[in-house]
Amino acid sequence: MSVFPENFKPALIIDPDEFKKKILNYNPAQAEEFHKQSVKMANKAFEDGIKSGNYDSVIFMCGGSASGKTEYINTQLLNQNVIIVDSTLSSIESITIKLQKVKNKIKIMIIFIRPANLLSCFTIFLNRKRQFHYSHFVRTHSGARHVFLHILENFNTVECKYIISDLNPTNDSLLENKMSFSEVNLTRQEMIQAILNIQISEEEINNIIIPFI
Amino acid sequence: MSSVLKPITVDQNNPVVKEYLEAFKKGVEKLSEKQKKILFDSISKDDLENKKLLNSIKNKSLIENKKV
Repeated sequence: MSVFPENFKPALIIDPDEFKKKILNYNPAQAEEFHKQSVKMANKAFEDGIKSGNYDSVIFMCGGSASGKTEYINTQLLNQNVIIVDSTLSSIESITIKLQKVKNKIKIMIIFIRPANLLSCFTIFLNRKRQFHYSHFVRTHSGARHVFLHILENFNTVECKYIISDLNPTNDSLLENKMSFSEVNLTRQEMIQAILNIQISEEEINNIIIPFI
Repeated sequence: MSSVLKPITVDQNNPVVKEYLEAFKKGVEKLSEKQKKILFDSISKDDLENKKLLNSIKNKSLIENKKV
């Protein structure tokens, strides 16, 4: 017997990285080469999910590479009847197209995940199984902040959540870690101010990560 | 600060979380002492700045609301 209620529908998670695993001869060490194809597959799954009429709302994750989006989904969002798009959302063009596809059909939420520290995040980016050139990190972290600000300022009906992810290393050791998330409790206007303050160019990110390249 | 940041409980045993933490650990182990210092200083600096920035936005907003 199922442990879930009769009408329970798990979230539909659309993650380009999961689609990569379905591509013939996929190799995580060369993940970048498979990215375009996996994004196409994810876009198709997204459209099918919207058309199905089975979901109450759609959640778009937003945040640079390795910022903790997948970890947030897996620990906070799975038991909901929603479509979750697990991508960086670092291009205004891409989110505009997606928002047009959803239109007024279902509720839309954007969850922006920002790592408390970019260098820690870059350390993870460099050491996980999926490998991308570091320019992908730079582009997505700068782009996601820009896109989130654009949504806050231009799409009033889209609900926006701002989450900070952290690893909380202790004073004694960088190796003693615990992952944490904190929701930033601000009004929309305050959130715009906060996100304006953390805008960062690709050049600025490059300068931060240079000692680790 | 507690009113600005609402902590969310995270299951540290979740396999995806474990993998994330492992990647960080693996990365830190590869760093030189100099890089470790850069990382640690950067974490401490960001921690302070994040708190300062969010608090200042909240406080500014509270003051403006009082004026109204």
